[in-house]
Amino acid sequence: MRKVLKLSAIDYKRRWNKPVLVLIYILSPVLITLIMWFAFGGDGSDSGFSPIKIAIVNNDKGKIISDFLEGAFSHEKAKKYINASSVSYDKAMELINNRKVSAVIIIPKKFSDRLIKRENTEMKLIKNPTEIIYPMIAETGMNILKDGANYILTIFGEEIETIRKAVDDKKNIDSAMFKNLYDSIEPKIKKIIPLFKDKKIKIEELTEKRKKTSFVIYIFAGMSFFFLFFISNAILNDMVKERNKFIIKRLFLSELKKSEYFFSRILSSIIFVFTIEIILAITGRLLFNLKTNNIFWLLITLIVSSVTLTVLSATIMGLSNNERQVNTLGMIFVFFFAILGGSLIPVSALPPSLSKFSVVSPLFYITESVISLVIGRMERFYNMIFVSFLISLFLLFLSYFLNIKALKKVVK
Amino acid sequence: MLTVKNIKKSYGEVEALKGISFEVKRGEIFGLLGPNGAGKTTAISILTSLIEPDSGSAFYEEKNIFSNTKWWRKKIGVVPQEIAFYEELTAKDNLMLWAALYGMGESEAKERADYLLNLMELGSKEKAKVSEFSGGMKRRLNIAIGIIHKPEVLFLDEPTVGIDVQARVNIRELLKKFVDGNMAIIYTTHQLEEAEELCDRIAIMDEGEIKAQGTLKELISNLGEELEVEFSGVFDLDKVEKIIGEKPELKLIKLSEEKIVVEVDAEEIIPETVELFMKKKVMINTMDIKRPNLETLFLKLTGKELREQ
Repeated sequence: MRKVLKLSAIDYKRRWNKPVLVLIYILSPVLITLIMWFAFGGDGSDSGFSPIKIAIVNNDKGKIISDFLEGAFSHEKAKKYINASSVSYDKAMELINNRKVSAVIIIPKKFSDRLIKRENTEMKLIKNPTEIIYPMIAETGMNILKDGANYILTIFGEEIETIRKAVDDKKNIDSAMFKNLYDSIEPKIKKIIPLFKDKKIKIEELTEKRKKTSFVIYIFAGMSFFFLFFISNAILNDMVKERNKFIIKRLFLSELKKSEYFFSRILSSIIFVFTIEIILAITGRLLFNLKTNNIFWLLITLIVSSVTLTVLSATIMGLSNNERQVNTLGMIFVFFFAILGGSLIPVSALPPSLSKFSVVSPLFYITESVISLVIGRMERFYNMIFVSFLISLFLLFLSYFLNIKALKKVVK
Repeated sequence: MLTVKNIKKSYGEVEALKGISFEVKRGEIFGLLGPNGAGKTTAISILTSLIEPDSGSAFYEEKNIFSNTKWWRKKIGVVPQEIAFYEELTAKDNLMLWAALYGMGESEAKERADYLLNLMELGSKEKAKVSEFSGGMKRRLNIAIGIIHKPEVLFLDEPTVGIDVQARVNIRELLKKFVDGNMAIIYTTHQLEEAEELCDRIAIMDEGEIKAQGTLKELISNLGEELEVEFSGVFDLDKVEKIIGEKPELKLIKLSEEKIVVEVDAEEIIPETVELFMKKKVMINTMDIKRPNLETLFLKLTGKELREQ
């Protein structure tokens, strides 16, 4: 045991030999979270989204429907999120080709007439291929407006031709025609108005109000574990490096046992990762107000997660014969587990076909443990931390077996 | 005494050791001299229990070292060719680590580490990281780690490889300091002067075999008393050939328009030869007499110039 502790202490000391590298690993998740924090208004202020830029080419002369669509985009509330400008076709093409707008909506000629005559017509949408989210939002918005317009046409389809004539030719409004129109529209409006007046349809927001920081914890916890996984890989990389050097033989020519060597490396890595986790936890508390009153469980979570990351890295080392294999396998494991585990993208944002595989990533359980603890979902936390513990135990056995086998190839 | 008997080792088709045998007594430095690829490191790896031999045996204090590995590892110290310690740490940290791994107590380890740092002239650099050390200093620390636990048998595998001449001489001087009557040292090298200066007995190795072994005196005496004399100047080949032909004590080794190399049985023949050349108007610019040494022996035994390695 004394040898394990001595070798661990020496190994731990060696880790601080490159403080700049350690600092980079600590700062990386903090900086990324800070960027996200400001970008998405994580402090609870207005969204940091810049408005979606849309160009509208209105070729319609009829005006009624197209003005409705164009007007919808310039609505006061919509203007906060959508910056729509009415331009010519050529200008719109120039804007989309230069990636200056997220989408172009083209309203064709005789659009209103055709709608009024209840003929099929279509608006055209050109999306900016270099963007993903904004054009999708523009398309969704356009579909909502299309459905709205179709709904209005369905209700007032019979009267709309008369209305158009009345608007187009104000001088020749026939009082009989007006009366007929009024008689026809009035009952329909009477039926619709109460829906709006009495606010029969309401939206109640059930989003948890207690934690404004829950969005940040996803980013911060995920990013931290992503970089901590790199750290544990970098620490344990020495196990593979040493296997190809005389130093490993020299170590075993002393009375050191293979198991003592393995556990000393594991212990130093756990302590080092845990140290960085403590630094990150304090940083998270100070910068992003991420905190929990449950200090005991926080410590347990940090210990279990540092063990999980260490034994996961040790498994990679046990599977690798040289540094090149460590780098290749390390990268594959880090990104595979990080993507599936919600370190890079929250699991909820993953496509369903991918998110169902999150359960295979040890990073998923440790990230979810921290998140659940911070946002106070204790039942989920207990489940996650328990599974993390079981995974750590399994990986500890696996990595022990693989590394001892690899050592036996090098030293008798 | 360490007794090594007929050790063989092959790697596939390649016979790395073809049956080597030797003995090393306590207080003795035994040199394994040979070019790269001679089998020196394989021999050391087997004798330090790092790899198993195909056949053969080795005994220390009448115990088979191959079947008592744990016991044997406590008795030996190893200084590898490679720098084998942690360069991110200080020299003292490294020494303290290996002392702990050998089961030494804290105070004993500290005392021994301080002693070795001074012995190896590293005392002033006690707190400096080893990565800041010169090549010679790293080599000295490599040796210090090998003897931290006071081994009875020390294996030094080319401990001065890759450092400059001055640092090499310095290490040789230090090695002489810690050799005492209790330690047996097996020293591999391809440096003739190292073997000549340090080793009490030398085994000349080549292609997995020991070609000859003994003290330096014993080895050279095997070569006989012949001296090699080299004359330089501008020579008439026919004339020189005729003169040498007239004197049976001279054995012609090499003849060119600029150089004559002859072998003589006795030293007194040399002035006679010079006189004869002068008499026959053969103009000599310089003369060099080569006495038998380890280099000529090595050349004779292996057909190779060790300096070329």
